[in-house]
Amino acid sequence: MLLKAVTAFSLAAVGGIASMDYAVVDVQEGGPKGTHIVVPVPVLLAEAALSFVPVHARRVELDKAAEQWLPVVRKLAAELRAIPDAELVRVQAEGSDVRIAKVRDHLEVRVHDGGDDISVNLPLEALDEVLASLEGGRVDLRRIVGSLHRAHGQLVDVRSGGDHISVRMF
Amino acid sequence: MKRKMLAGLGFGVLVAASAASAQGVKPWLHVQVDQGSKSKVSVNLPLSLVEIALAAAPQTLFSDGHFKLHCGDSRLSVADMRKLWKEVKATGDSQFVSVEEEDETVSVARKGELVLIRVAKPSNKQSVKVDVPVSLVDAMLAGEGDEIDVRTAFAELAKRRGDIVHVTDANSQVHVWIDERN
Repeated sequence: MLLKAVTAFSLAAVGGIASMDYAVVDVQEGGPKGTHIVVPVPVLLAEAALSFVPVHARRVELDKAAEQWLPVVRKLAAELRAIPDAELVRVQAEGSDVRIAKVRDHLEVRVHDGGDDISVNLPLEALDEVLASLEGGRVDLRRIVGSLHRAHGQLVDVRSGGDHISVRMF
Repeated sequence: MKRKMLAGLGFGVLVAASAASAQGVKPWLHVQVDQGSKSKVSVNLPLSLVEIALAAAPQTLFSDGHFKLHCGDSRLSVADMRKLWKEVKATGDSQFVSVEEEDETVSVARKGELVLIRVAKPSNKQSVKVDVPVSLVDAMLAGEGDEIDVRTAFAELAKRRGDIVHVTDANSQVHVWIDERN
């Protein structure tokens, strides 16, 4: 009986952990002795940890000027979700290339500048969540972390001077 | 049987037409700036997106209801522009402005539903082509007093398909147009 209960609890725990959303932060320093750090962060745990942070500390007042742009940004985000896939902006100059595109439910930003490469995939659903969290002129860090539940795959990939940083959602 | 086939065909056409209208009626604004090997800029945005951004910033475009023309210190009020436009519009298809200098020709003419502005400077391989729909100017100047109705003008612009601005010189090209392609 006890064995069954322990097995059931273990399976439930493993299943719970397996079904969690993870943000994996991978930092690889350049050079032969460069440090390589991989930090898997369960989003649920990060949210839970932020719950213990006093409300006033995890809520940041939004700048008044920024606040008045919120309705516009909300409308823009909604419109972005509605439009078909397209390359919205492309700027190519000597040694640099910037591209912003809407691809399925993501906003893709690609920047190549000299030896640096930045790739950001912004899930529009997560953006909605972030914008919703800005109600009342305050940024709630817990809700911003929570918006990561809506993200999947590569979020950020930065390569610069031999260093490599990536944030991926699982 | 024939009736069923016709009904099916009609339904198919209806579905296809509604799908096409749902996907294709959205006008897109395209801006391309090509400076050869120096730089290339391409912007493709649905007008709906531009409209939202524009609606948020009318104050930066206009001040005190006056449209600022960058001609030294002179300022042309919207009321003045309205009077001028009324006269110009009444003349129908014609050439309003024609300047021919040694190395530059400028012409402003109305042709049908468009006001065509053309500037050419052969020595610099420079040419400017601007096509402004008459209805767009009407919409801009439809308000009263010194106000330009940006919203109505924008709605009118959304009906336009084709070239709006084409500027070419020895080293660069600027092309602005509206179509239904993303």
